[in-house]
Amino acid sequence: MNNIELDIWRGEWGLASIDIECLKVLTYMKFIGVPVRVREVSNPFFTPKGTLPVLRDGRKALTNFEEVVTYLKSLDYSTDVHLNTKQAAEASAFTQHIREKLYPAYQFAWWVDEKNYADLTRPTYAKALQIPFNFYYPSKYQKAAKEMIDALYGEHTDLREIEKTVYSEAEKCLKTLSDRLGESEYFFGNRPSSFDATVFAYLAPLYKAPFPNGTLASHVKGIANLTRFVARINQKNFRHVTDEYNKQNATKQSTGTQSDREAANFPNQTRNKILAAIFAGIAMTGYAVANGMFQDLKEFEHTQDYSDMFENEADDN
Amino acid sequence: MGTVHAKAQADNVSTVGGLFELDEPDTLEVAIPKPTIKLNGVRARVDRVHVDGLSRTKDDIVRSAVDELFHATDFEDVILKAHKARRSLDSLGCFKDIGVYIDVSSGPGSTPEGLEVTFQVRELSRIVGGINTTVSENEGNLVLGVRLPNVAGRGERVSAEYSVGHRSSSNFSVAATKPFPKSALEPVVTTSVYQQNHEYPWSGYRLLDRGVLLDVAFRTSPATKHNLQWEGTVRDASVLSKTTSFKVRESSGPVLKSVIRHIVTVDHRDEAIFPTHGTRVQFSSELAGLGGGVANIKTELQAEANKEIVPGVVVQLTGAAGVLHDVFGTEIPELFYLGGPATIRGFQQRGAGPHCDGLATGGTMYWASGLHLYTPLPFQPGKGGLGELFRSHLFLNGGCLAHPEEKTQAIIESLSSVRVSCGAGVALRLGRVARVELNYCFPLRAAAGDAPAPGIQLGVSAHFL
Amino acid sequence: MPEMSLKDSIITSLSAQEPWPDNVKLFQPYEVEQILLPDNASCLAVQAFLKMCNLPFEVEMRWNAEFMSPSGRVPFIKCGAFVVSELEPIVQFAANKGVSLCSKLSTEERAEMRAYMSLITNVLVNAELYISWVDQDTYNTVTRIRNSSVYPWPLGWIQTRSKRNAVIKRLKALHWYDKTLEQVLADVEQCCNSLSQRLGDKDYFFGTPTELDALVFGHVFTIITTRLPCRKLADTVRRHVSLVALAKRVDEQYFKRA
Repeated sequence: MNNIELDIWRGEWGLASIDIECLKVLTYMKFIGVPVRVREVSNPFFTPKGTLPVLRDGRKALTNFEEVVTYLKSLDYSTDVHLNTKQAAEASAFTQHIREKLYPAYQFAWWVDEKNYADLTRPTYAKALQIPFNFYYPSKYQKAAKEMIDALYGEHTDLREIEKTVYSEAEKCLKTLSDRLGESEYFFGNRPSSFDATVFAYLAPLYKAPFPNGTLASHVKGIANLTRFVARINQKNFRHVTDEYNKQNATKQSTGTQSDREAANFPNQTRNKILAAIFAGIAMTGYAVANGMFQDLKEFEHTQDYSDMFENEADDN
Repeated sequence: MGTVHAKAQADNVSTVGGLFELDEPDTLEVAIPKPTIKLNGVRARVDRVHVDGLSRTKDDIVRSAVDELFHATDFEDVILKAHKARRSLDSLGCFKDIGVYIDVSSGPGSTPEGLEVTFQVRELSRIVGGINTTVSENEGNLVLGVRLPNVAGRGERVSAEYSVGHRSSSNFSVAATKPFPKSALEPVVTTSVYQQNHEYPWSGYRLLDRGVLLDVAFRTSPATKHNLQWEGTVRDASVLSKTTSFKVRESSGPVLKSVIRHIVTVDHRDEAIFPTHGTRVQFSSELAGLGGGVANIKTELQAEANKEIVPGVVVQLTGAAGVLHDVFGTEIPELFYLGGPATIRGFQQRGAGPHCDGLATGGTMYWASGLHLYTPLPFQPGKGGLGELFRSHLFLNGGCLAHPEEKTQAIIESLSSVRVSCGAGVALRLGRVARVELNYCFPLRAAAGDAPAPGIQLGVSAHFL
Repeated sequence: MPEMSLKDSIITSLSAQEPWPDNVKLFQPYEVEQILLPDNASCLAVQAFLKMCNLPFEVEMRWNAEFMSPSGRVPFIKCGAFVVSELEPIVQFAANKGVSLCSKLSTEERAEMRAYMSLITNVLVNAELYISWVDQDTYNTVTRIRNSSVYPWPLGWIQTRSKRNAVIKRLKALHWYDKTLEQVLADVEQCCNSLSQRLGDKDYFFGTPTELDALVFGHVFTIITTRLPCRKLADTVRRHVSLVALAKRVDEQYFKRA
């Protein structure tokens, strides 16, 4: 029996993983039903290419989706056998189409959009990584995403223009996908394929992750058949993940309001403030003593006494 | 000016007037005859010259500056030559303070009429930095510079500058200068490497220039300055926006240009900004094409004459003309442009001349002239102080810019569609190099397609027409 | 429905009011001594598309065509006051004027067509860039000489180096720079496979000529007719007989060359 292990980024918001590649591989494996031990890894430093997912089987280590599909096919695990050659060609064409049009928009929304990066992406990855890697990897991935956007759309100088172009291309692509899917259950017949895994991996985070700037996400949510597609796959393959997340969320909600949540994040706010004030007071006093200000004070007191004596004399005059 | 101390034989000269010389001098009953010394009657010669304070400056250039002193024959001559030596030491650019002390010579080797002259100098520090502003073509720039004066001891200078303006960004230049004070005509050789990034929104393009400039400057007379230059640049033009006219778009792309230039300036004015009398003529000629992708011949002449008709009131006549002959490769950024607060007032910047889709596309020939009247401000407020910085100003400007085919008939025709404007305003001096003008202009005659700008116009520049 | 920005809709309605003018010009680099493999493919594809649509145009060759282009890539057309570059925007522009080759296709077929066009853009274009600029042989003997031929000496050297750095940066960002030549050729093989499968033994991909046929023609024809020191790319493509046949067919029908 093969001993397949899969290292992925941890999940959040009811997703099995926050990363597209990991989600692609995971979903595909769920489609096939191959037994695999999934590990949530918090340190991509020791992986062959510095990225996740990594699929390990014995000595083999595979790092991207295409390699995994090919390898699993060699082990006779594949869902693509029901595709004829024409459909397989079409699938590969559509994969490239998504890569050309949707992937840049996805990377833009995740990494390049400043608000999303600061409020959503960075904290999520920081939580998923151990110290000190949570300082290094998010900015490394952001840099790679920015370079890709620059390579494809570098002739525009205004970030807003790039954003508009990127999102409008993505919207056209989504329409194409929606047209192709039509009313069928999956893209190629009524059995899922690797292409369905790819599409799911792109769309699911857009549905689940709470983007501060959610232009792309709201557009996706407006397409009915894609929404049903994502919900269907989620229901069939990731029900336990969603259920667990919902449970967690429910408990969190019942424990309090906004300020309570803030308090939960900063449990000892008042204590911290008092400690900070005491520390500052000690620091300033110590500085004053070191500079001999108290000496001067004492002298000042003395002079006060003397001048009292003099004043009296002066008054006598 | 420096200080000249001279210890002469003390005579009975009584100083009157108290400590600050503000008191009225006491009237004496008997007028004490003030002894006068005729300096040129006193025979003197210079026995020794000391120069104190040298550390890295080399001896030979200092020696050549003070050599003249040994040829002095009388006391007046000594003082005059000492002044001249001081000026030439100053022009070496190596020293900060120069003080001159003249004393009677004593000690071994001294002659009865001998004098000792001591120059006390302070060398400039090894590295000098500064922030200043420059003004050019209606925009101001902030310049951060670092200079290494007197690097190898003979007056060489290395300077690096970075400047930012509101229509240009990230310009820098690194320049090395070496004067040759001992050679005839005292040439100064400068090499510089620069990058300039400049926007020209009136013509719709942006230029990124990177190049090398080699310059030899010398004077054939105190008022005549020559510059002989070779410049090699890569000029990268790009349009400013997606909707810029196609004609300007056709000039996009990088071009290599290699130019030989000669500029001669004869300046007899008494002052650069508000001259009261004198003339200035500048003639520059450029030959591009020995290497590179652009070949053309460009000549330009500028002249200015001033005369004070009544004390305080100055009449100025200015003129300029230019001809460009294109062999191949000349594009829009190379051509002449006319119009703006520094040339023909009353028109937008580059507003007089051929236009295409509202953008100035330049011409190959132009002439322009101006007649100005400068008077002090009416009612002369702040006379003697702040008021001296201002002048009120009446002007009449005219000129024409054309892009004709090279036939005499066509040239004469196209250059006769004159643009004329007149107006009045106030001019303010900025230091000794630049001027700010605020004028109210009436464009009297404009050709179709021009961009006149009647009304108030503000101009900042170092050189106005 | 994809939302159009206000500017796009204004441009659409403005340009739709005027018919295709007579003096449309297509700008590209000099064909004989300057143009490189990827640019030649794009230019041929646009020319084929315009010819298929029966839209008259004139080809003008300029040394600075890529600098004149608003997106920095060739070819671009000047149509009245509009300047549009690259195939997809030009197709969109023609569609706005009511000229379209895919009006008879169903929505699914149109979706498929766009997907296949993405395939070519992602694979063939990047492969051509790789061969021209990263493969040392081709770069030194062909690309460098052709690219610097329009500049005087020192500028040519500077320009070519800076263009090479820009191309490498782009390939790195798209994860193509780390591939070996064998991997690139394998990707090209897979792409051509998909295209052949879809084409089958039909004359055109969707019965009548569409922009997909124009794009396939542009790239396949350029690859098999350009002499390069590295013959493997041409050999890989030439093995797919149906694609070569399509290219020859388009050439004979629309370009009337021998």
